[in-house]
Amino acid sequence: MRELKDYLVRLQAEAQTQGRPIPGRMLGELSDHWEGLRDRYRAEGLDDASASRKAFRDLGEPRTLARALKADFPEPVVFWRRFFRPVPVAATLLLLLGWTVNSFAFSLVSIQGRSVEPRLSPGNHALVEKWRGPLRPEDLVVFMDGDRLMLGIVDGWSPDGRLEVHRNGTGPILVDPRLLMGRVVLRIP
Amino acid sequence: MAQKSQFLKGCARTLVLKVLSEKPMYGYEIAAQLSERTANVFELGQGTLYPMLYSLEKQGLIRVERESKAPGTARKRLYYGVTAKGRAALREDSETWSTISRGMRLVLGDAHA
Repeated sequence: MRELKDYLVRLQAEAQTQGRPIPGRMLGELSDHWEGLRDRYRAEGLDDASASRKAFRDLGEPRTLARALKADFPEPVVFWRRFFRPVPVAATLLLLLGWTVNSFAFSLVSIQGRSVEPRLSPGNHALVEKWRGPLRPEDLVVFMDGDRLMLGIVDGWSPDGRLEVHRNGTGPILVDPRLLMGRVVLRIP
Repeated sequence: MAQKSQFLKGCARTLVLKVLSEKPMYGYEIAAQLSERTANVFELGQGTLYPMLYSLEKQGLIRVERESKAPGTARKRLYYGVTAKGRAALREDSETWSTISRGMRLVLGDAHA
């Protein structure tokens, strides 16, 4: 029995090294298993020592058995591990990243929008905001024309999907939707 | 080889439920019964058997029916038995197995099944 105790101590040490201690109940069942094997070999005519050795051989090296148990034994669910599982963590990081990018884009549009402010009548205040709902005719929009930001009034959509706008004193201009920077909201003080 | 081992592991649940449905047994008895009755085809190692028993117990398919003192020690030996849910799962597994087995026989022929 001392050999069995030594074996179980080595097995538990291996399991702990591998980060997965074996529950006491399972150690008890493994002891029963070893005894069952030993008794069978005894019944087959082996002497005590040989039967015991053969039973240990059947159980396997402590390292191998610990590894096999670790592979198949379901890990107990610990609350903080469940809470900090990789998927929710990744989703949170993605949300944070999205929020940061979104805030940056807002501030960029606002900064660019300010540069068109002098084109408006004195006394008016313009805010350039991102789209909220579809564009309607008569909406004021900011768009890129080469390197310059331009202000225009929406006429409608052309059949090929571009936005038709006009500027004061000019004919209609077709704007690729990708060049639209924002919608201007006029606030008259 | 790994594929065969996975296949056998998949079948082992049904066989464990079957032998336990006949009478409560402790771990070694289950392994010995399976090995003997399947002509050593199913020799479940301890690394497979005990995790499987704990998993079946957690699923409510088996439970510790009784505990008795192991001969010559103060340790308690745990005998597992099948629950009603386990019997239902066994019936379902057996039906599935019959269907699969019939299909395999039809394709491979009696000599291979």
